[in-house]
Amino acid sequence: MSILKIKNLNFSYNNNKKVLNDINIEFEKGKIYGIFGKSGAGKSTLLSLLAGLEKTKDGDILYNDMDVDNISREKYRSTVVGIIFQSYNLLYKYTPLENVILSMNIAGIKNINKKEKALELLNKVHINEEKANSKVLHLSGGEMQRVAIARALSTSAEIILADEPTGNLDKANEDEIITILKNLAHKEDKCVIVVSHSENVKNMVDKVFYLENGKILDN
Amino acid sequence: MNTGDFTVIAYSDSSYNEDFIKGNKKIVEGEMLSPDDTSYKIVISEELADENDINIGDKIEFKNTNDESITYTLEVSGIYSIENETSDNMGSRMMPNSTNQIYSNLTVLNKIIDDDGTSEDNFKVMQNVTAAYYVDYENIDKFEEEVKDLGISDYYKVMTNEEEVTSTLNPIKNISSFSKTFLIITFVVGITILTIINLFNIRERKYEIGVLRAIGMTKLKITLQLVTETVMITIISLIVGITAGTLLAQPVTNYMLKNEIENYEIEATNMEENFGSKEFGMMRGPKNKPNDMNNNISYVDELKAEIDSNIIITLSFATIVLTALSSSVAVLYINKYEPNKILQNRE
Ligand SMILES: Nc1ncnc2c1ncn2[C@@H]1O[C@H](COP(=O)(O)OP(=O)(O)O)[C@@H](O)[C@H]1O
Ligand SMILES: [Mg+2]
Repeated sequence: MSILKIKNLNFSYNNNKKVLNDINIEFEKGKIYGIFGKSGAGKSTLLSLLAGLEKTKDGDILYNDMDVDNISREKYRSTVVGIIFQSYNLLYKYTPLENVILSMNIAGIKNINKKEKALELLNKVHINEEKANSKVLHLSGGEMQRVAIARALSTSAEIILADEPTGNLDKANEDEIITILKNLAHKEDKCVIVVSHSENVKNMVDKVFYLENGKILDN
Repeated sequence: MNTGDFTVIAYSDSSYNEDFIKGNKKIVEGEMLSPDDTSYKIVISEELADENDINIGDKIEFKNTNDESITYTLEVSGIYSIENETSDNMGSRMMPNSTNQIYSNLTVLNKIIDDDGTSEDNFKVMQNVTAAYYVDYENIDKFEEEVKDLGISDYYKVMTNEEEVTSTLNPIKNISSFSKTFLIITFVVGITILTIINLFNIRERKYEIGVLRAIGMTKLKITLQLVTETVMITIISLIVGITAGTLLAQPVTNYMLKNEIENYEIEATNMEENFGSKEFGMMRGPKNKPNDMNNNISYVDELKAEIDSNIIITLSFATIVLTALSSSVAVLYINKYEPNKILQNRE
């Protein structure tokens, strides 16, 4: 059963140039998907729509067969999906631990020891307690992206969306990140969708979609 | 013996002696004669002394130009230098160059006038008739009129010590104008710095707002958090500012007032040097005046610095306006832009 469906989706920004053209995809839990394509193909736009950062105008996105437009935008972003950006988008004035706990607070998570859970998540992405309590700015790019993954997981979201998560990282860090994401799908039954243009990533995902001029190519 | 045209000048009161007060002339040796002096003494210019090889204590003989049989023997008690040549002294037209001005006392001057038999119109004789009247400060302008109306001759000049009274306030007036200038400068600089800080802050804030929105925080929550944060900082700043202001106002005021009074006293010391005698340094403002028991002006040397509720209200109001202004820009970002746009704009 698919957790996320894109039905007859068309999209253009205010300048009317068609960015996405009649997209139809179904995503399932327990799998990792890769969306590939050249720069400007519309990959980020597609992911923004899936993340609820952009509103659909023509066509639907369904979560558990429910139109996403009917779910509060904030609730959807904070509890349904976990988003990972190329530029990490952590808050630099806080520690990794505080970044993760903040995300749990926004999601309205109660009745658990948030600090313990956050440290556990950070530990899973190989951020030890000392690093977890230092300033974000003192971390390397790979470490920042792993903190961002811990943050995305903190709300128990079923869908993890990553836009070029390894775009700023070297090969070793890329392998580490993709392995973590793969395990999330295969071991924790998440639905993981990764946008990338790295050949290395292409070989590690379960299913690949190619996007060209706003259209999905059949492979 | 040099027989040029000399001008003999004497004052009944040292405060009329403007050249020395202003520092156009200055005693370099000996001292100026006191107005009360009755001895046959004079003060001459440096040039006159050098040219004729005259020293302090020398006695010189003068002839009366109207009647050469009359001579005066006068002792030199002081020598002055001319620092600035002035064209006009006491409004006299028949004044030769100031090298030939001889300062003496009223005793000597009256003697010469008597011997001359010249009409008094040619001389300006300044003598004080001292009588004390206490007038309300507001009526001080009318005072002269009233005295004239009572029939006093035009020969007498009616004087008030208005200048002296108001001059005691001079240091405070100076501080007041200085404070206003300082306030304006502080305000302009403050607003400029705040604006610059805010411009940088907004860049940082925009990013933060974008991230928070992207991970699902509601607009209302972000707005509330931002406003709370700003209000807290404002309150803390106000408390610190007002506390520091209250504690520092009086010491700073005292210090500034002390400085100002010192400046005025340095002026008096300069006068002391110009006249060559301590007695003159004490004097500021006409002598022989009703309240002239002591010649030293005692400036108002207490100024109470108070920070009252009015100031606090004004200050708080200004702070609130600035705070509201700066936070409204951030609130604008929260409500106008979707997180995607805020985060994209950054790259
Ligand atoms: N906010 C925006 N407003 C207008 N046009 C945009 C915006 N974001 C992206 N685009 C345009 O949409 C197209 C697809 O962009 P994007 O989805 O970022 O591509 P990709 O991520 O595949 O490189 C590009 O032509 C881009 O210029
Ligand atoms: Mg992109």
